[in-house]
Amino acid sequence: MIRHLLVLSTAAVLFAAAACSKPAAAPAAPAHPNLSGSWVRPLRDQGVGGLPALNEIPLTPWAAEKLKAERPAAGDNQDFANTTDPSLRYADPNGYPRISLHPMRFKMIQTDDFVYQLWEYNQNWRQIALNVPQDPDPAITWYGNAVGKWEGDTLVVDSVGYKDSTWLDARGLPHTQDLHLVERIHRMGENLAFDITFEDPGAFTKPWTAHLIFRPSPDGTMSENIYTISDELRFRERFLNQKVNIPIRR
Amino acid sequence: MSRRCDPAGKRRCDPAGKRRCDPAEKRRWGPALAGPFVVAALLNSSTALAHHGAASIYDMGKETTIKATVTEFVWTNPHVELGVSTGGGTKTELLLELGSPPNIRNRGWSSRTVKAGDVVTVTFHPGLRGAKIGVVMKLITADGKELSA
Repeated sequence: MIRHLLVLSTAAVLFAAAACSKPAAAPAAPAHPNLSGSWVRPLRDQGVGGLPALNEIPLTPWAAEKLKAERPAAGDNQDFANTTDPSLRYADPNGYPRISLHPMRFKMIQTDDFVYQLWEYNQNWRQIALNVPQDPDPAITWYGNAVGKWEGDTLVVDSVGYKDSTWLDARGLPHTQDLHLVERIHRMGENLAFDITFEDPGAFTKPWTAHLIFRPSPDGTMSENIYTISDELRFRERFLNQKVNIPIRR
Repeated sequence: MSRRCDPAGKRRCDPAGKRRCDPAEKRRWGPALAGPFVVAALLNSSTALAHHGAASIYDMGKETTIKATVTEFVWTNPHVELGVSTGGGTKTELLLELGSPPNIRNRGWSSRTVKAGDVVTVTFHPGLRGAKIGVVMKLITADGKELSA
């Protein structure tokens, strides 16, 4: 018995040693294109826009009125002091896809079951669950409920459940809680492309599409850039002489 | 077991240099890291202000350069703050903003680049309507280092 155990354990050690001494096998070809890595918008696109010109977006009368009433903090009609931008006035999360229009980079992480998008700005993130059905009654959240599946080399993402207080971009483009996005995410040479179709009967008279291109950014440690309401109010108090009526960190 | 055996299991080099890093990998990352730094340095101060547009607060057509004493340097969001006094005092007479902390860190700044008491030369777009504020374009430190903001 002892002899048998010795033989078995010796064989196990020899087998392990043989496995270690073997040259590494060539990795199997990935089943899907690699979307992983860090991505950033090209500098030429880093203005206020990113989505089509406002006159190219088929706004409903409600959306047109809402847009007209907004006071963005940047762009042609900027009014930073009196802005209605929720991401500044309340330091709300940017929501989607506005967060992707921010000049800071994001990281894509792919697993078999999920694709994660990690934005450096405010350390916000979303998850895209793969090969599961969309929730017919999703929770209403800042970054929506996203499900995805591969169609050839393209990751097709369907998302709903977006909180309607966010702007779609820094110009104040509105949406309702019925916003439905369909994204086709694919590699375009060395770049990463997002073709996003916006459907929202309350805000748009027909679906429309935006094309966002991201270039690779050096990977590695993401910096922390968390911005709070105290940061915003401190800035307003110091630079704009605006009175702050709630306790803030000074 | 497989990680130890697999030479491909080597971790990727961390550009921030906080983890152990193969020097050869560091060399390979050098040009890749230089890219965004150079690009960032080419940005003007208005594009650095992702938080807000500058035109409703500052006179972006005007540049002012002064030699002043630093009264405060606050490494904070949404913008790093630089207080200065032109009379050499310790009270902030002019409050200047720079980019966000990660933004200007990419341009060579750190929270220790300047400190209260330093005499610096700073170029900025001044505030509209005589407001004692400004947005920094560049700064020359007490020891002669020039940095864009």
